[in-house]
Amino acid sequence: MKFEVSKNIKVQTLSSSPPQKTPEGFLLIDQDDAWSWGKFGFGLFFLLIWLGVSLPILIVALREIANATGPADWVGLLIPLLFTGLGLVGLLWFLRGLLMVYRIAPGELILSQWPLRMGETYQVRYRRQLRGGKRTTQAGQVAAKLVGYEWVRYRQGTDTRTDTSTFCEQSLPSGEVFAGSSKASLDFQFQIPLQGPPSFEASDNQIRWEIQVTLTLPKLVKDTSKFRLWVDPEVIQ
Amino acid sequence: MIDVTLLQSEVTVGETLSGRMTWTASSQKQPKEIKISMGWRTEGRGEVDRQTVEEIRLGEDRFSANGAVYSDFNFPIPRSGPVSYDGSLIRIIWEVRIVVDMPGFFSRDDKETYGFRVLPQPILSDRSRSDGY
Repeated sequence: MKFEVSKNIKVQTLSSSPPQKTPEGFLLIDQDDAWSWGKFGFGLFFLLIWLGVSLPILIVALREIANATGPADWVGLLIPLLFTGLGLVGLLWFLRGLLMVYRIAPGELILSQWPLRMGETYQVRYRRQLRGGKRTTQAGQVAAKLVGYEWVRYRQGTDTRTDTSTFCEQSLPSGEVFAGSSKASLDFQFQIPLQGPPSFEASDNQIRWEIQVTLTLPKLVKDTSKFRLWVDPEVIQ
Repeated sequence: MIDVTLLQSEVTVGETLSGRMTWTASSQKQPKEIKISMGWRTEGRGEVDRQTVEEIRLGEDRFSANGAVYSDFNFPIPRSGPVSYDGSLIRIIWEVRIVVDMPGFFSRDDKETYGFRVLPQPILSDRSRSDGY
């Protein structure tokens, strides 16, 4: 028998990091919560270039208005003002992300079993540690949900676009984070629906399952961690 | 003319799809090769992904004087799937595909596809799987 693969199809497993087997269970970490030299380095470089070009142009435009003997050309100020404004918003967003990475460690999810099956119930522990010995000053909240969705990628002319369609969204138990806590944690259980579908991963078509956990700590952080699950084509009877 | 008989219209992952392919000549020409393959493809909003999972090639030594060819096939479905799926943006379709490669630059190859469904495997609840904590 000859085995032939078309169009660079990945083997049907999770392309993102598989879980680590630990004594506690199968550990998933949301890498998007973590520090990344690539992500932050590129972001800072891009913002410096953006502001490095737009700010001097804005300063020149403001000087021309200040030195104008006749009616001021306010229209000429609009574009540099817009670009500088966008750059400053980007900088604030960048600093917010940096502050969050500094204050709190990435979210972790520990599953009782891996991979998952349709119709089976799983015990889960979520936790997220504050860094540097910090503690919460006010009560906060942890809320989780199970989401299943289709993801596709397609080309429209020269553009590459993606689209998603959610087929399952289940609210899961939420919990409180008490004031004075050094970490947020939540134990809960969930079930993959009997009708599934199982996970599927090809280059441009995927069926994804995720646990999404939103952590709200007033004056500290509001962030959602996403943990990708893998559901085998097996159904519990 | 191509004809395929599948013993199952639905098969579970890990099981085997069985069937018989029959080809009868509609002209004097004998094919160079007949390819029987099984695989899946996607349909829908996204770019097409496809994979050929199993394949049989029948050479000229299999063709009889009266121009008829038949071949039984048994294709195992991978335990990893995927299963057939019909969603909003994606459909996953399994099919057996027959291609009869006719000789000559201007000759058209004969092609037919036959769809079937792949289902997830039912498992009895396994209480021996230990909890991590």
